[in-house]
Amino acid sequence: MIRTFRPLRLPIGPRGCFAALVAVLILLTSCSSDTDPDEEPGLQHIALVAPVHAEEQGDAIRLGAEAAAKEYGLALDYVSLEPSDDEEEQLQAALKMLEKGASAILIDPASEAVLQELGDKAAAAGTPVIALNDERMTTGILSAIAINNEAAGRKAGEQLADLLEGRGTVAILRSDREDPDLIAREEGAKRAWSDIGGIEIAGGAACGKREDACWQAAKQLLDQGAVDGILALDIQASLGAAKEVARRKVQGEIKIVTFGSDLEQLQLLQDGVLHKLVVQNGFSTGYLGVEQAVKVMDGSRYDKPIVLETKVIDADNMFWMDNQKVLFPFVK
Amino acid sequence: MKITYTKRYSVLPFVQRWVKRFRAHSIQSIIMWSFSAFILLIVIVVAVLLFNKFSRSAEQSVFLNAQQIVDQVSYNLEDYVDGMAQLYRAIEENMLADGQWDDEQVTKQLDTIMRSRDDIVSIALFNDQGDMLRNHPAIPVKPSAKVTEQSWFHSAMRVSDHLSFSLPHVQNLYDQTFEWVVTMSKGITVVHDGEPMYVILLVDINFKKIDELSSRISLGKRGYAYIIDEGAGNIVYHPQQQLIYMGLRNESVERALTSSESYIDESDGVKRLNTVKSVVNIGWKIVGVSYLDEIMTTREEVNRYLVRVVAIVLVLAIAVSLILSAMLTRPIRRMGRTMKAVERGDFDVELPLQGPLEVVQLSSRFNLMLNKIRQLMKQIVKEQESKRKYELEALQAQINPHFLYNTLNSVVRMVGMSKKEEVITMITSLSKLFRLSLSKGKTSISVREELEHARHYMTIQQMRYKQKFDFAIEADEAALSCYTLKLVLQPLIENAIVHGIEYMVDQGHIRIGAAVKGELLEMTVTDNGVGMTPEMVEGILDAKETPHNPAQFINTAGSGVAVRNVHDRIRLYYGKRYGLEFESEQEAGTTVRIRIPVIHDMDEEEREHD
Repeated sequence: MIRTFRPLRLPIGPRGCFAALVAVLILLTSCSSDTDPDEEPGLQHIALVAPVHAEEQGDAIRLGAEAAAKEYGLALDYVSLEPSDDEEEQLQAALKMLEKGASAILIDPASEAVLQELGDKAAAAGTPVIALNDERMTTGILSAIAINNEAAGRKAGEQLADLLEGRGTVAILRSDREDPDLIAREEGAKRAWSDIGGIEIAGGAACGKREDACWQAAKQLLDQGAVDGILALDIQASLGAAKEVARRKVQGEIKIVTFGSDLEQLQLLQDGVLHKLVVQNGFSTGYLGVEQAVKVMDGSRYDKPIVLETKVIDADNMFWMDNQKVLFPFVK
Repeated sequence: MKITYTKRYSVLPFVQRWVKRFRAHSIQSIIMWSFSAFILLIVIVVAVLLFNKFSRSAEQSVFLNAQQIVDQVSYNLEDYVDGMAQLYRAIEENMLADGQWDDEQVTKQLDTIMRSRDDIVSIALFNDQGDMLRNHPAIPVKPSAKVTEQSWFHSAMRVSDHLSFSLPHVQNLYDQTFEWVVTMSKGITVVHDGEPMYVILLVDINFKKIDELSSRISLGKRGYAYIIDEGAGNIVYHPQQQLIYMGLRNESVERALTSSESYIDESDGVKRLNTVKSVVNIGWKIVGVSYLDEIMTTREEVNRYLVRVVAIVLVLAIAVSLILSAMLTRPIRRMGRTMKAVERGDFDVELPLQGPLEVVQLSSRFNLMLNKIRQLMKQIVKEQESKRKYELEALQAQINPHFLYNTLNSVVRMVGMSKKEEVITMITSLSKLFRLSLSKGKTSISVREELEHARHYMTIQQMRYKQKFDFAIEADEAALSCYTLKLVLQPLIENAIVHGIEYMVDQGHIRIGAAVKGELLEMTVTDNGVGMTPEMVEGILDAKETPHNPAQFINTAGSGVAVRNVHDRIRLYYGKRYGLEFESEQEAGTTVRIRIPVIHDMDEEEREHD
């Protein structure tokens, strides 16, 4: 008895096999198209809260922050403030961004109180806060981009003393805000003068929020007695002083040294009403602020406070190529 | 055996069978592996070639692409600069053609030009002292503007009648503008109010336009282009101009300044391809930067894709070759199984004629072979049957009752006639004849014994036929020791007596001979009887093979069937070459030759045929 065994037969015929293979091939090759790895589900949002009373500076910071955000692939939420807004509004705006779930908050705080409160809240929420133009590192403030205000004030004081050839009476026009930055500037200037010797401080005046208020303050200041030079601690003060000097037609005679790089200030500088500007680079502040925020979020090493250099600008050097680049934002 | 066979195949699992099939050097495994290896090799070679080609052409296309884009930007920029230069000439002609720039006509024309081009910021005319002669739009130059210190003024004063383009700078002539412009300036000598005068015509173009022309460039995902001036390497345009200006970012322009072709540099550990192209009419250089790791990414993608393709092809190749080899070897395995069946003794199997041509041919040959074997076997069976039958017949011949009866009758007659001597001779011969006939049941006996048998037979017949014939036996010594099939001579002698001599008038004569002739042993029976016609001779051996009836043997006076049987027996035992041969002539006699092989060893003979 012989048993015959059937050879192994696949359930499908050769033609069926071939068709199946082709189908498998097509299937496999169609699977191989990649999904785009660059596509990220959502961008990280970084909030930038505008400074109070610093129009030009605020713009520069924003431009810098935008440039950095673009480079690092982030979304920048810029929170603008009305000119009449003050620290309270700024704090509210910042807290609102915190609530909205920003990955990091950049703020140029109007006062220490704002920074402190925001810092506390942000620390609780685990959101990093980067302070701009402020060296104070309170709770929750992980990094800061600032200028050394005292050094800047000293620089301004020295420049004014130079203009007066080391001898004369000066007055300080300050803001009525309790801004520690401004106080540091004033202290720096005073220290410089006391070092030089021949400079007499005639006194000072504080001006309010509006330009007119500063003008009034400057008027009062000049009415009080003859001064040779004015140190205006912020933009508004400098504009008020310039206006009063121009009104009295003593422009050029009274030397004015101030801070900022507002277009109006630059115009006045060129016209010889203002004499020296101590300029800080707002664009860099914004750019580096975002850069720091990225580093903080990545968990990589970052520098705690970054101190930026300031530059002294006068009518002669303001159109030097290097200074042009800093002073006139390259608006696209 | 049968049990193990069945058991092995039914118990061994399917997988094991396959493993076995592939481990051995089976045709299937050879086909499968060689086929797979061949396909894989080809695919790998093709993949490697394609990969090289792909990556090379990808690289080339990136280089080419970068070059083309940069060239394009350069052309656009050149075009724009040319356009601007033409515009400048148009303004120059309108303002300075007749040395008068204050009239209404000029104002109108300048107004038209200004309105037609949104990228012209201002047009101004200065004298060599830096005093403004005319401008459009008519805004007073601010007193603090130090015209003579500006770079465009210097370049116009330095080379006359040459249109120069400044670097982007902040316009510093009018109040409150501070716009970034590129200044076109040229120092021209004109005749004004009858006197030659050196004037400087200034056209400020908004930098935005150049920025727009350059910012739309994209080289890969991250690549970009920037513009430097060939003189000092200052950055004219950069997509991150502000960062560059602020010192937050650097671009190594030294190499770009000196190169006129593409080069590769490294920035932050990333290799970049820099494509340089000069914009001749303005003295700028465009540098296109593309990131090489993007090309690498493309290469890796191609690589990954090819690896996937190779893997898929490998899987497919193995699958296809599995199926193919199974398909090809299936008929061979089937054949093998059938052969095995034959080996086991089943000759009734048959291979189906299907599959590839060679297999069909092989199958049909196999079937033919099997058929032949079956036929041969049938024949053997038949021959064996005949052999037995003939032996039986021979046995019957040994004790032919007819012959015995006749002989005994003769003996009785002789006894009656008191021929004592003859009776003794006859009985003795008869007894010897029977002893030789029996010959211990052997099939073969020696020629000597066969001749002895013939002699006794003829002696008896001689007496029976009353000395009607005489006989002689002549044999070689060599032939005597040979062996032969027994009782082959007796039927022939009987035939000679009955058909040749009995009816003869004269004395008959029978001669028996045995001789070795080469390989043959030839025994002859010769008579001088009536003979046969050639037709009869033919008829004896070619007689139709009819079922032999043993009864015919008994009748010795039959129709030569006994003779034919002798012939058949010889041929059955020794082969077709041997047998009887008749030679006969009527009225002269007949000679029958028995041809058989020379065989000396009887045992051998017995083994072969018993």
